[in-house]
Amino acid sequence: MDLEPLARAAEGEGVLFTRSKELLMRTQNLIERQLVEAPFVSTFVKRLVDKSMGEILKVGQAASIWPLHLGIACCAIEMAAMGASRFDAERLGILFWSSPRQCDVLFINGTVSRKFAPRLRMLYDQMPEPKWALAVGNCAISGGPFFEGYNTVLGADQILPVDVYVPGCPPRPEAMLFGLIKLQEKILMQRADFLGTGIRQELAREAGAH
Amino acid sequence: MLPPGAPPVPVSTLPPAPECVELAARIEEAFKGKVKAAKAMNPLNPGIQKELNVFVDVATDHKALPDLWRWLRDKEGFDHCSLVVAIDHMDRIEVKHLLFSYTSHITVETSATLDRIDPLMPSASLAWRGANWLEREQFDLMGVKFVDHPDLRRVLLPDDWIGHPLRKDYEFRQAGEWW
Repeated sequence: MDLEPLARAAEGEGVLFTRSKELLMRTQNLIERQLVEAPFVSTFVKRLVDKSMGEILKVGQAASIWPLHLGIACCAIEMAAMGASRFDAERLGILFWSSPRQCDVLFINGTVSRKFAPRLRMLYDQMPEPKWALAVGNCAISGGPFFEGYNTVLGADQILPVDVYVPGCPPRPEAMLFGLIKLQEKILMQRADFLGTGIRQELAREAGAH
Repeated sequence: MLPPGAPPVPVSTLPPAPECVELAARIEEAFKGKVKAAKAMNPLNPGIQKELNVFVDVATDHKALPDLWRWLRDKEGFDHCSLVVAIDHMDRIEVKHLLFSYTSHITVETSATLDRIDPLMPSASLAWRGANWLEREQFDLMGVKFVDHPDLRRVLLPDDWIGHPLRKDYEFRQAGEWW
């Protein structure tokens, strides 16, 4: 297998590869290309690589959730308490990161106003796949105490898909951690995928041919 | 509004500060016929808030306001426009500018009564640059139009908002809102 382009890319963009996500994506693309182009590798081996590597990948994703360091309202204070030493979210691999380009999880911790909604959607769109969203607090779930405000979006799920809802006004840091643990369970339950759509299409084509 | 049977709000019976009475007299003398009334208010919280202890209320027609503001700024040393308030009484709109002096610690409140359908009034942002965004906020939420304002845009709400939501007759979640 030719790993030279990967090493060159990692060397050239050193800082960007602090996160394993891009490295992982490049590895996936590389292995997929090698597998598609390899003439003598059987379908069984391709499936084996896909499923076994996918299981490993899921565990890795669940153990390194990186939420976007975004504070909207008072729930952000509780989020800070969750990340600090008493509750210590980092022991679960939850590390707050300040750029959406390297993040997995969008913490929506506050009232989403009509003016902020397009900005929040833009942050969500800037995050690479796979990505999840947490609606933390009653404001992000349904508008909360500002339900009758003229400027309140009635829940963050009006503008982007939300995976876990953590109720409370604000929720305790334990509750936020519980929501993140639930998200880890959700990640571990999803389908084991490692390779991209190209190898999947080829497998489907071969399955149809036989 | 207080519920029936509630004890009345205690009203301060302390006399207004003497420098405050003098300032009200000077305003009335300089703007005779233009300013409706200038009176010194009773101190609100004696000993706690020094700034609020001296308070001059000037009710006026909005045509006399630019001269009054410039006179207060240049002659009396009011160097800070601290607040712009708009009140929606259902038949009229009242706009109050709170002007503060860092040397004498007096707050002057100029209030103007405007037509509710077409609330036009001069802008204080030519005299105090800090009034710019305060007046934009009142335009945004109450629909007060400051005619000579240099940059009268919405400041809090999105630019495509329809209506002014802090008016008493604003319809909640009116047609065209998508959430």
